[in-house]
Amino acid sequence: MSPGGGGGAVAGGLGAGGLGAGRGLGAGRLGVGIGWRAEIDLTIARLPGVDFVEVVAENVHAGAVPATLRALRERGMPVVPHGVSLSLGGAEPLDQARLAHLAGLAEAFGSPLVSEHVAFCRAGGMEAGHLLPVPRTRAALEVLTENVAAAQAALPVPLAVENIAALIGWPEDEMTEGEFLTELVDRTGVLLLLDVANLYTAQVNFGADPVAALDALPLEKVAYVHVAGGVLRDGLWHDTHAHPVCSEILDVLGALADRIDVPGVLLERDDAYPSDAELAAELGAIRGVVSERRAAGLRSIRGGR
Amino acid sequence: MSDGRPAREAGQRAELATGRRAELEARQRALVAALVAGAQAPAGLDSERVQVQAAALLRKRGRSVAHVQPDLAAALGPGFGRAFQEYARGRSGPPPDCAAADALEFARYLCGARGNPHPSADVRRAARLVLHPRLARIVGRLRG
Repeated sequence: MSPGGGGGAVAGGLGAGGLGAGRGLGAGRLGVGIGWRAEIDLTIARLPGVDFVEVVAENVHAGAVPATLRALRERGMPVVPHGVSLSLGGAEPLDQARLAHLAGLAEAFGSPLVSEHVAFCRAGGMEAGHLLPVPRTRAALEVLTENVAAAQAALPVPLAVENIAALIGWPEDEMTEGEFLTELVDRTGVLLLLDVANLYTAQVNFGADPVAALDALPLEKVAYVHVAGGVLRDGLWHDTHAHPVCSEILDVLGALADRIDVPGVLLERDDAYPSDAELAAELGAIRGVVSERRAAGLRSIRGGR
Repeated sequence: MSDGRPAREAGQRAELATGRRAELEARQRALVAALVAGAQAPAGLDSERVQVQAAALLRKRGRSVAHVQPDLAAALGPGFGRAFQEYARGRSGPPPDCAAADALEFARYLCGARGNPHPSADVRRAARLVLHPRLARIVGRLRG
């Protein structure tokens, strides 16, 4: 219902405080955020322009929330639990204890949503220790659909699922990542946590065009976006979360912001933490990309009248 | 209803679902075994990419061990990565199920559990303190 052009970019914008017009997604507007890590807890507390945080669910327990994280929550900052080991794409049935933990964190933090990955992490009793890609086949999609539906049923808030960074592709893949995720959304109504760094990873490692992926995806289901740095090693992109965010990744974010009014963007940094100033600059660059595009969208709408 | 068709169809659907999971499980198990337990890459997968992914997983595992035992990591310094790789590649079966257990086994390896203690006395001392946390606490208190 938004006035023509600009892809609906007129409603809201990346406001501070995570308030503003709800999108009926359960997530509302999140703004600009950063992954909360114990190593940078004091930095995050004093960084300007942090509207929300995400916590790695496996590192937090509802009964023993670190004081610095509790203080952020008491300030009204939204906290999104982000699971990394549910193995939604795994052939084994979901681990009920991991699911209950995610649900418990969502309750404890009063979270607007919970996020996880389209990936598997274990098989045959062995832990991979990381997120691995699911074969993009009809059969795997059926299994993933069942698992996502089971997770949705067990969670008190909406679930968003994230595209991962992969180094390996399956020879039996029948669909592009965009097609696969779109089918999953159609079947389950699940929200998307769109990782633009991982779209860039797929471009470098598999030649998949990130803009084509954006055009294939149901972008109205994007709850929020991940941005992170990585490194090129022997021709392959490693999504390290330990390097600065490069301009190519910000360009993918920009292409997304050309298409939708981005409801939230979160910077992930997991290692080799830079100075407070550098983190603030990265957050500023992210906010800049999104609001610049939004301003351009608004101008084109006004110009068209 | 009386011919039992719905029940038969439900049974077929369940069988299909079980079959799908079994097939997916076999593929996923083969990949994880190649990545963490030294098995061959599953049929059709780029074995070089599998090796790159396995090396990335190993680096991540090493970072987790360094995170839970920073003094051991500090004693090894820049030699940490290589020592951890040698430890991990020399063992059989899947890795320990948490970083703390991995660190203990790594410390045992550095102390000579597989016959070759680490040449540096500092590293061996740090590894012994990992294996004897009570001793480590006493040493910590003495150091103030």
